[in-house]
Amino acid sequence: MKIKNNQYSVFFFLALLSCLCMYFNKHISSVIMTPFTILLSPLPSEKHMADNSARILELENMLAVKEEEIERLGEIFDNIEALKSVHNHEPEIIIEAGILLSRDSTDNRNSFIINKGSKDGVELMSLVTYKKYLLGIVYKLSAYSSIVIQVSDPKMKISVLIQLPDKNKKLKIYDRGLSIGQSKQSCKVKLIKWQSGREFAFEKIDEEWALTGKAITSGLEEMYAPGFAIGDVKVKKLENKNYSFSIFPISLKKVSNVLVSKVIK
Amino acid sequence: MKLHLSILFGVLFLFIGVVVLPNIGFEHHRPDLIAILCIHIIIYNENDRAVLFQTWLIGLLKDALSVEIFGFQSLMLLSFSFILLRIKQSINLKDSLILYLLILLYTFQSQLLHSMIIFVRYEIDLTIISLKSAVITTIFSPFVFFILNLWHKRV
Repeated sequence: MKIKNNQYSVFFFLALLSCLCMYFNKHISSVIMTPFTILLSPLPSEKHMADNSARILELENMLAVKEEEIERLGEIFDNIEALKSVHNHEPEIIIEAGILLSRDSTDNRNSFIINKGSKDGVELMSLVTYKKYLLGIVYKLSAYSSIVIQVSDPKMKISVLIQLPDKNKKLKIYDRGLSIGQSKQSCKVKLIKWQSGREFAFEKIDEEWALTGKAITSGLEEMYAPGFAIGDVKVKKLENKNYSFSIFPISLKKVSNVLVSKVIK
Repeated sequence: MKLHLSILFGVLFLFIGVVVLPNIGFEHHRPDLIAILCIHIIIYNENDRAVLFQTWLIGLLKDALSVEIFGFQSLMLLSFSFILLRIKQSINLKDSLILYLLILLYTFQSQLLHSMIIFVRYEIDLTIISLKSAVITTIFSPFVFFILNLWHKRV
């Protein structure tokens, strides 16, 4: 009987601690995330030199690192250019970040962790982008890392318009849609009275984007600037006289560096 | 299993689940290695208080790398462990058929609960995904149990 009582008391004590953690969620999660960030970050290289061959090896390594750095800076430059072309205003903050972990620990949520946090100037609800793609928003912050919820997470609801090319090199624009994250790296767009789309000639739209169907933020919410791509349109279905689209966001495997930005309103 | 081993396996399985498995083809449906570890702890650990504490700590590890509210996973794992400890008193959970059935139910139940919360909050139905994850976890469980049993016997 005593053992049973102990079991109950331990259970209630730990459950209470969990509830306290949930109550102080923001503070505790930011503290807990820090050791994981340190664990995941690459270790600094050691600077020992034995002889000339070691020196040559070190110089070769340095050259490789510099080449990698040039490639990375080129990518960041492309990202910033793409971001500027999307935003109507100059972004207030632009921070370059790398992806530490590309998946959430639970199966039903879609998030990833970036290696920049509040000490680097990242703020909650900042947009995380890769070129013209919107990847998600910063949802949890720690000092040196942040958790970003992806556009395919069930929490995300973004107003979008969809552009679909047809055989006659014309684009059909379907507007007033709402992209809802479905987990498993996909979104679904529910349509509001989208029985027929408006037609545009190809020349008016970005040619690269015109070749495949794209879901693009329409900017109805203040939070998401218009013009960011959410993902590629793969499936189009007719449901209750309205079209329904499945959207597949860009795979994080293709992404190395991202930009965190916030716009002055 | 001792506390430090549970934490070690917890961290290892968490990283395998988040980093390794999505890169080897389990991008959409991953086996829940943490759930298998928790069941192993519940079955082979005689000290009930240690079971509750260890599963709670493993839940916190899972919380650290999730977008969910911090503490949610730990509370869920703690509750399921408490229920299983009650069941353990009357049923022999080491029986292989019961064990795999238990893993299937345990994973499905925890995933389903999570899906229900997501449904209530965001109106997205993830029931099928929960079932698929539970089946994949059950298929994986003999291999994971084999590794854990090796360690358990050595210690």
